Amino acid sequence: MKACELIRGKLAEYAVGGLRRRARARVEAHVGECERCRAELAALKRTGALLDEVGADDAPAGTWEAVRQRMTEHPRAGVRARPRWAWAMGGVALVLVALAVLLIGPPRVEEPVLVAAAEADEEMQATMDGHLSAVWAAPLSDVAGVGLRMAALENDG
Amino acid sequence: MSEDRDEVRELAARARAGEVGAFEALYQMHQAGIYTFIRSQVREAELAADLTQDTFVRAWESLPRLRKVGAFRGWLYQIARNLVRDEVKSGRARLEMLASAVVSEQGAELPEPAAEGERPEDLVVSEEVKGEIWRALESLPAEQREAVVMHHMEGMGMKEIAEVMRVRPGTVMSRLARAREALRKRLSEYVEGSDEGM
Amino acid sequence: MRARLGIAAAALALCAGAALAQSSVWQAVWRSEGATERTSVVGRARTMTLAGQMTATARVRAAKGKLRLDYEAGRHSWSLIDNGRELIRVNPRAQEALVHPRPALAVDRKLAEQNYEARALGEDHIAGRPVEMIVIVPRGGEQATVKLWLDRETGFALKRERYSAEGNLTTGTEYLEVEFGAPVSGEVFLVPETWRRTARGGQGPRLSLAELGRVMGFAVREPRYVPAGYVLLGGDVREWGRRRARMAELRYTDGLRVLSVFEREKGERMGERGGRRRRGGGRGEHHRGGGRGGGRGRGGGFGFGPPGREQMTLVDRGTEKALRYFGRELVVVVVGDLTAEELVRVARSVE
Repeated sequence: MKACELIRGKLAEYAVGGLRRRARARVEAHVGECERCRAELAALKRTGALLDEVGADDAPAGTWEAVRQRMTEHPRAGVRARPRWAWAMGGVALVLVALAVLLIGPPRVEEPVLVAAAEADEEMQATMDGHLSAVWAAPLSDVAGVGLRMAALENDG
Repeated sequence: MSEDRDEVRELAARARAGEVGAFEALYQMHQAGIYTFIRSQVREAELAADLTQDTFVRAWESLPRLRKVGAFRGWLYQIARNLVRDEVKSGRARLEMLASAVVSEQGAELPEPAAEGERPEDLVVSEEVKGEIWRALESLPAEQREAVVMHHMEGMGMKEIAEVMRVRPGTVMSRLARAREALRKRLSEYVEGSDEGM
Repeated sequence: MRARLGIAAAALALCAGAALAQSSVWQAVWRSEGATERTSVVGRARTMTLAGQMTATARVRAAKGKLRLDYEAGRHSWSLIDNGRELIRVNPRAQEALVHPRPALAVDRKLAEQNYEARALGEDHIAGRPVEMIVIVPRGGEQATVKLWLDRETGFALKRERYSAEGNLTTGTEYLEVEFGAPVSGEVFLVPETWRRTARGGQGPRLSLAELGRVMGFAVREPRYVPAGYVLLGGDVREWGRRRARMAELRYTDGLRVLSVFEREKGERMGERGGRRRRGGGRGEHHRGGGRGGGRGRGGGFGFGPPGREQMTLVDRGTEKALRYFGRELVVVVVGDLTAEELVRVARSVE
């Protein structure tokens, strides 16, 4: 019984392939003799097999098109231009670049930090609030929908 | 497998150099895995789809900074994982919570906007089991769920998962073991049987 | 019957010239805007935002251009009154009313017609009534900005959908039931005298740049770049919080969409992240950007994580985005339905 308890605690590790050789051998020896542990190990293995069966679901149709669209909106910063130019100009250019980096600081990626709506500070909340009341009054506004958004904004704030 | 890996490496190198077609091929290879991985963490199909988009857009932007193209898949999952974490921590997740509170009491009247469970009839039986499995997965701690999805649904090895999760492979192993134990209990109906030798 | 609405004209005018069709479709569109001036409306509508992430049903009462919405969403309920001058959020339980001046946006309809194209798409039925469907798309674009389902008899929009610049459904409202011409008491648009009223926000875009500059005490600047089609409506002062923090507010529109640009001098805001600044701390006061370069925090350097004190920050609500940019002398917040890149471009062009 005691051996059972000890081995039981190791069966899941064994099933996922996580035990060293000696521990594995111990589990195998025990399972060869003990029907309950054998059944338990089989259930654990079947669980793994079941999980393997699930497979992945495709992303919704149109996702690639949306990604593609956004790729054109987010052109990459020129990654090749500088090294080629620098090499072509030889060491002098490199030194100049290094100097420029020293003087102006490293080139900044002009990418804003995304802040969660719920974590937006009072100023951001107030500006969005002001904007929304203008959206309410804009031509062809979906006022009922805007009203729902206003409620959400107050909930965030 | 290794053929796949070579292909990914080559595609990633070409995409890094700016070739959109190569990136599209990478998208096709990984979209289902990434979407399912995200879906396992945020549940809402719409949000998962958005984050899938974000993951690939971000990958495209950041590819020039990826040094080891061989590590593309793990790197991609890392991006997805970070985006999910920010999201869960953040407002949209809160909005979801509000939305679910909003929808719950009107349940019968309002159709769920997400295309949950809209799948062909001919898969009924296995879809049912699948549903059970997903429900069981939802009960796991996020880290165990992540490991299970990467390992079983995307076929990733311990080392690769460990790199994504930034932990030791032993930790991944024990997360998988704990998850296996919990899932085995929850899915007992399907995994307890007389036939042995699996 | 169709001809009366003018939409049929659009359908029939395929060979009679697109310009004529266009103008008659626009006529139907603008007629829908004034429908509640001509007839009262009592109904129930389902409304949602962000492609269904939030939904509610609303009891709608409208007459003489005034509107009251009583929302119900699960355990939550709230009401909004638009009396044409003010937008009032009503909380009957607390006997409280939050009053926003309703900024009258004097938008030139010609501007919308210049920037957008209205197309008649045919017939449908909403709430059991025949409607004409109209889609409005940016000129030269294909993705809808607004979709309208207009009641054939009254011209009232029984269903309406708004889309973001990126083509996502941002809000949608559809009537489940509706009655036209039923009596609506004027009292439903009033807040009882004894209730507490809290005023919020500004007066609407009524000030010129120079006037706004005088009120704010610094030279308010127009961004040198706004996306094509947008024009300035005017400026206002936005004030909030107990400390009465404030920013200059510039309002732009392209006829249907709104773009808001807010400006303040650096160091004006109290309790800024990571450090406090005295109010009116002086022009050109320059604090070190805590979040520049490194320190992007989590997210593996992908531009996510907690912002530093002067880090450009973006809030994306799925519907509109807000971007705060720290210039040399000014802090600029741009809010609108634009891509993040466009918001950055607008913000950077202020100084």
